[in-house]
Amino acid sequence: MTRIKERRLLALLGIGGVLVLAAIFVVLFPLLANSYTFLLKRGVELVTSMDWSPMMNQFGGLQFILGSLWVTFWSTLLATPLAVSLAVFASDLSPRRLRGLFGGLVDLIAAIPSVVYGYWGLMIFGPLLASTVYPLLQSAFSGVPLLSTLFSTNAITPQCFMTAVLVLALMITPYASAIIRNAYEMTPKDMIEAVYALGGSKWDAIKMTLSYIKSSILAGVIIAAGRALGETMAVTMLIGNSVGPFKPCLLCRGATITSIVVNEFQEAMMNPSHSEALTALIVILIAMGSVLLYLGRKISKNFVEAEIHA
Amino acid sequence: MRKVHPGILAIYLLSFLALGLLLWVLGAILVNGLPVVLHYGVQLFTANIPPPVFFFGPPPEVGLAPAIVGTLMIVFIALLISFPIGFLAGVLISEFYYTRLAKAAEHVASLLVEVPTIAAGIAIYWLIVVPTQGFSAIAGSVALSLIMIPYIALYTAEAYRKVPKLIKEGGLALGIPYSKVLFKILRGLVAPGVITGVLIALAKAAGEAAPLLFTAGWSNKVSLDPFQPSASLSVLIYKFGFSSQELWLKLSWAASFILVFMIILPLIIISKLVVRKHEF
Repeated sequence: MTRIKERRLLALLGIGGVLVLAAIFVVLFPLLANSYTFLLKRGVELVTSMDWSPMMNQFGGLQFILGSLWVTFWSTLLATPLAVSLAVFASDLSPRRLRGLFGGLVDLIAAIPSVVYGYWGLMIFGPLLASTVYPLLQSAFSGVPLLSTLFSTNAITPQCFMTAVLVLALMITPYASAIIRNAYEMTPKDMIEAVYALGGSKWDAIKMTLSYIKSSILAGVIIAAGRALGETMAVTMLIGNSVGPFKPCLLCRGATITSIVVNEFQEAMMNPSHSEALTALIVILIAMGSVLLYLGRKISKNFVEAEIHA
Repeated sequence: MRKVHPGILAIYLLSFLALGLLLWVLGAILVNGLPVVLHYGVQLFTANIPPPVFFFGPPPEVGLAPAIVGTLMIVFIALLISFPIGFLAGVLISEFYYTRLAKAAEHVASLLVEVPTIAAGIAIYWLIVVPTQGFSAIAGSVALSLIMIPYIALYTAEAYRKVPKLIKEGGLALGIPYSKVLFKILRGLVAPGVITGVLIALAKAAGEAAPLLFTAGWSNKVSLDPFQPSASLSVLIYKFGFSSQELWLKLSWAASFILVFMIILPLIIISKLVVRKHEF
């Protein structure tokens, strides 16, 4: 395109550009400014200890970091098959006439606020699971090594890691699915016709398409994991909010970085160390998210493109 | 009968499972929220939020007006802040894509989408709430504007990018200044894309609770002063959702219904209609 010199136009648009750059500093600067002294002085305690007792001036937050990773891992694991299936269904298997409606429905569902998912989980989904599925899981896996620790708990409650994980998996499925669907529909028709020409079945065509868009699937999954990591309201309402040490268990109560911040920030306003510790945890959360995005860019060549469609 | 491959069967089952669960959420909001809205009727939209404990009989008035007004006001002010920034940056990203600033802005915008919204809330708490020594609707608006800016910028950039080069160059060939081409001639062509971005950003922002908890605060009474604390529907759902009081739980459902079916759903539907009308 021709480069037109229009200084005044560029200056005007430049203001917008500079302010977008400023926006990231508006987020990062106050967080860093109010946590760096804490991180320098007690950062090691924050990321290695699991003793969290603001009243006693103990700020070990490892259980929240592990809790965030634990919830992210399981919800992403569960969302992946759902998202891939939904993408294939929406772009290949559903009746052609319904596809527009279907896409709209998924967009709509993706726009339901986190806090509403949380309330649904709190009032309906969690209690239902706790009275039906969780006791079954617990008894089914009670003798199995490794798996039994996942499902062992003294008391089954509607609010636990598992409820948060399941609702979160549901929430991130439309995101991952939209990215996968976009790639699925971009697959060259020749490739698919070649499969049929070789006598392949519908299933062979789907398998080929999915392996063709592997990298986009990975990108979608990583972006969804990023969403799960930063997800706040639904997790806070469903995870049970226990500040005790982390246990690799799904039916136990727990906490994540986001849930501890929502739960305690109000009272922490009175105690500088406490509010700085929570702010430092947010900084750690952003760092974890950045590592994830960085890995995504390294692993998947379609990552940047997928990010735009997210 | 033709045999269906088990893999395809699995895809059907998993899709229906996901869709069923997601529709369950929507259905639950409808089934639990709509009756409450119908029961209290107009009062719900005009009366203040009832006090937490009532000693003598039923509460005098049951309403969500402070939360509804609060959400609308906070989101509107957030739009006033984010639209000019997002729009200008979006045009820059599309039309001056070869400049370093445009590349950086696009990069930062896609990064901002991934920043957890609670981070924006805590940042604005330190930046505005602490220095001004109090919660305010406008602090909430600033936090939400950080969430809206990238959506508006990226959708605007996409809308301008989609305009055929011929049209832009045609305008320029006639000697019309570039700014006039961008803002006047192309207006009709880019409007659907820009409006979609704005509507999506509004829908996202309206449902956010995390950025408002520690910025906008709370108020039981309707307040139109942006420098005073304000309630919002999303924060109300969270706050009342943990209550042991039947009435408050009902109000949380009603707030969910109003938020999803009367604010977010119309925004999404309008955005779909706008796009359908103007595809080229």
